[in-house]
Amino acid sequence: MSSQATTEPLALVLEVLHAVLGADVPLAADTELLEVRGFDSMALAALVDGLEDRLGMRLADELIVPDVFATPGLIAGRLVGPALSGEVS
Amino acid sequence: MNPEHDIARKFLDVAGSLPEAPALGHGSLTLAYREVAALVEQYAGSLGRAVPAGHCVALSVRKSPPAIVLMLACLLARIPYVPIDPSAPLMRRRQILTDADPALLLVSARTVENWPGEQFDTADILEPGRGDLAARYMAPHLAVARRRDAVGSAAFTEQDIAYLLYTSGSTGTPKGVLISVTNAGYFVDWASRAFPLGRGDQQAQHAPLHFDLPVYDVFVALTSGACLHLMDERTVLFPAAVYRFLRERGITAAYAVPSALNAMVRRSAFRREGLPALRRVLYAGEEYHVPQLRELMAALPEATEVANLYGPVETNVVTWTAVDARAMAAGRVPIGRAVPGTEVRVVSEAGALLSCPADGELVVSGPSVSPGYLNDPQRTSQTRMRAVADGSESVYYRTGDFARIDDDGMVHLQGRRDGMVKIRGFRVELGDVEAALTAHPEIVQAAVLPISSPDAGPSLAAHVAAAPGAQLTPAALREWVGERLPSYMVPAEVTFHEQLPLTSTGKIARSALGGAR
Repeated sequence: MSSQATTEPLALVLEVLHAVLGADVPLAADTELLEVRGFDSMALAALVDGLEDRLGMRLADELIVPDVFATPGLIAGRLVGPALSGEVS
Repeated sequence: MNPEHDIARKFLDVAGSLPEAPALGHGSLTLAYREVAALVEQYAGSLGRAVPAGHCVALSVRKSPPAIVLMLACLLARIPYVPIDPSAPLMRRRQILTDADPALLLVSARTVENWPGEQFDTADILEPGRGDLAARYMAPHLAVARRRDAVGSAAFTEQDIAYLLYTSGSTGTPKGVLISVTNAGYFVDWASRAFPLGRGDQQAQHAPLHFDLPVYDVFVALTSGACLHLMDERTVLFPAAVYRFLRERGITAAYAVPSALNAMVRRSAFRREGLPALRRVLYAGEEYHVPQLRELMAALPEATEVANLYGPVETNVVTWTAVDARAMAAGRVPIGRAVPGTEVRVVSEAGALLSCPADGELVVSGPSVSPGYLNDPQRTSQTRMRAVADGSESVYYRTGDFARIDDDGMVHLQGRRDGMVKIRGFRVELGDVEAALTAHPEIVQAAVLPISSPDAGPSLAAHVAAAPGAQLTPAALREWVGERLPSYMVPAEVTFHEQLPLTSTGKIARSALGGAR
């Protein structure tokens, strides 16, 4: 699947995360990101940049918080999904 | 010991006079001075009984009240402590354990599994049955490994060491900077006068505890009657969460690296809603570029004091300047004038002290200068020089920073002498990263260069040449480095070359590889 074609929220999040953290890093919907080695402030900034590029929008600062970025599943469900469906602008 | 330099005693004195004042805030928990003091005295006693003279204690404890209690307890018991980043790779943590050789390793209970090979079986030291406070706030959150083979170091007692801070070393192993009781006490005493706090102040504690910024946060706040608010590792990553923390807790004073402050300015409600309670912002660790600094200051209350502090780990803060329109006028904020009692000079390449105004390598002499590196007399001597000033000979620490000192004593930083860079305020020796890269069996050459982007700030780019037939990918190599070095030392970019360009003398031609863009 090309990166441009990914529109399923979780797949999109995992794709961006793998680009940031490395393709070999095991990630699943419930992976606790803060426990993943290398997930630091620079990785977070790169993840946010990557998501914004893919979504074509600037994410609201209030959504870039630990509760949302705890797992790929939460990012997909609370941020990317609503953004793709136009619920978040 | 000069009583003015006795940090633990000053804390107990304040606790005696303000027993019910809030001392430590973490999550929904607030501990009063009375409670923290009782824990500090209790654990100073138990650690004192468990740790032989000439030994240190390693603290790899997540940011929490137990971490702060143990730091103060060690100071009170006159036992050197070594903070170890719990999130650092195991190899890095082990290197520090091998070098510092602590008699005890205290870790957060939840991280025990991150220490394979250590035997966590000495719960008696935590005294879980002694007192309600210990049972509630300390014992359940900690685990202790007694390291019976530890031999300690004569340096701890001979130099009266308060703590050790490990920084990046140029040869692939971290170096332990010895900080004496006098070094720490002098700094805290000066900082308490220059940037005073008092009851009613809410001091944010942002930087990780293995860094040197918390020496101000923790010890100045808790020897002044202020409340110290611990910002946990999770919150620190998220600019909007950092802002919310500062706002909701009514933080009046904060000390952080520019990268963190700038991230908050750019990715939170700060510019819109401000921080009305904030009356002081201190920054250190890297340059705060003037355009970004103006953005920060535009959203701060007009009366908020902003100051730029400078000093390597080996000296703590040795110069500072208030940041105002005048300081920013030249386009770069100077690092300020020398702290009282500290001599800051520049020297020629030959090591001769220069009369100001002059340009040269910055050297420092004074009571906050570290006695040296643990187990590394060669490095200690390489970074020290003796020189006569005003008729008396002094020992100067060579910072490796180039600077200009004006005739009025104002110091302007110009660059580095060697391969050291700052990533988010952390010191990184490029040689340390190169050593980790070339330790990979398929890498034959490596050069690491600093790069920079307006949004992400400084980071590292690795240029490597692999052995013929190697199947290595950039991601796999980053993973390899990540197993050995802290995350801020892992190159953001990896470029493979057939062979790295060489100079006529056979060295890697770094200038041909770009960098510092």
